[in-house]
Amino acid sequence: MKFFLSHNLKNNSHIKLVIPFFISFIVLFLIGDCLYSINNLGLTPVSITDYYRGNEEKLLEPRGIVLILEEVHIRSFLFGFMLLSLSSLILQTNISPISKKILIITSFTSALMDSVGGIFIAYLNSIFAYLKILSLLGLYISLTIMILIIMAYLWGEEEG
Amino acid sequence: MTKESLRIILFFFTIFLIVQALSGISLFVVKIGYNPAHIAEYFLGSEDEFIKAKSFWGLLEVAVPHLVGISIYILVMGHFLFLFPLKKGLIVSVTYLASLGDVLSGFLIRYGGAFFSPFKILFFVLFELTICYFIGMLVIALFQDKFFPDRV
Repeated sequence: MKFFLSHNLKNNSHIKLVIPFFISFIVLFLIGDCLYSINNLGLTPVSITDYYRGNEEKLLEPRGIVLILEEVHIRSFLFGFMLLSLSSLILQTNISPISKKILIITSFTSALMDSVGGIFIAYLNSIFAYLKILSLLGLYISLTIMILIIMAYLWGEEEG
Repeated sequence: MTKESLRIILFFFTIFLIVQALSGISLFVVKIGYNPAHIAEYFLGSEDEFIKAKSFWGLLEVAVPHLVGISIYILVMGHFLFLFPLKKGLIVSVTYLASLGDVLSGFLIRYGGAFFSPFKILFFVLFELTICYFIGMLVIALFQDKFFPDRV
């Protein structure tokens, strides 16, 4: 986090070169993950429940514990470090403190619910499919807003 | 407000680390096993249990993302530990050696034999302990104001 805790983020040409490369990978990840979720999960409560719990009529096998744990393991790592970096950048921008707080809490909470949502759906109740949809939407929307704010801040007009 | 925001970020990051560690430990136990015999069987295969031996490419497929992930983890961990008044060299070195041993021990078991199975457990446990230590430090930091700069 300290790498990004610079007072001169906007005026640091080196950082201004690095951040777009970092952000471009996040954008590609966002598009890829969105397509993957639409294709695999379907983004409806029924399709998400079928994906994790299986469906005999549709000849769908339930997701095994190993596959679900692998999903949690990978996504919690990716989101933890990605949001740590993006949130540190958001702190440097000139949006209001309350907006920063809302964005940080929304993105982290959505990512956390998305990461562990599969376990809840598979082993607790299919009602958590709604939570999975909400968390995915919350994550995609908050990430998009964070990216736009960071880019607008870096290339926006100088203040005062 | 900055301190508060930093504290929120650190709080959530710590939760993600806990989820990551718990899922890693669960995966190890469920997928690989919890004793040297299970671990040897997982890597070397078993005719009785109809388990195929792991191929080189299969091992590499698991090792490559772990090498990237662990390198980022050590970088961030080392970075955070700089903020604490303790000897960082030992914990960073142990984390590095344990994680590297954990990743490479799969290859050692597959091509060196079941003799290396206990080492896989040893490296894995050691690596998870260093993660627990790091999580503990972050939790302590959450309750200390001096950890957070006054302004960003």
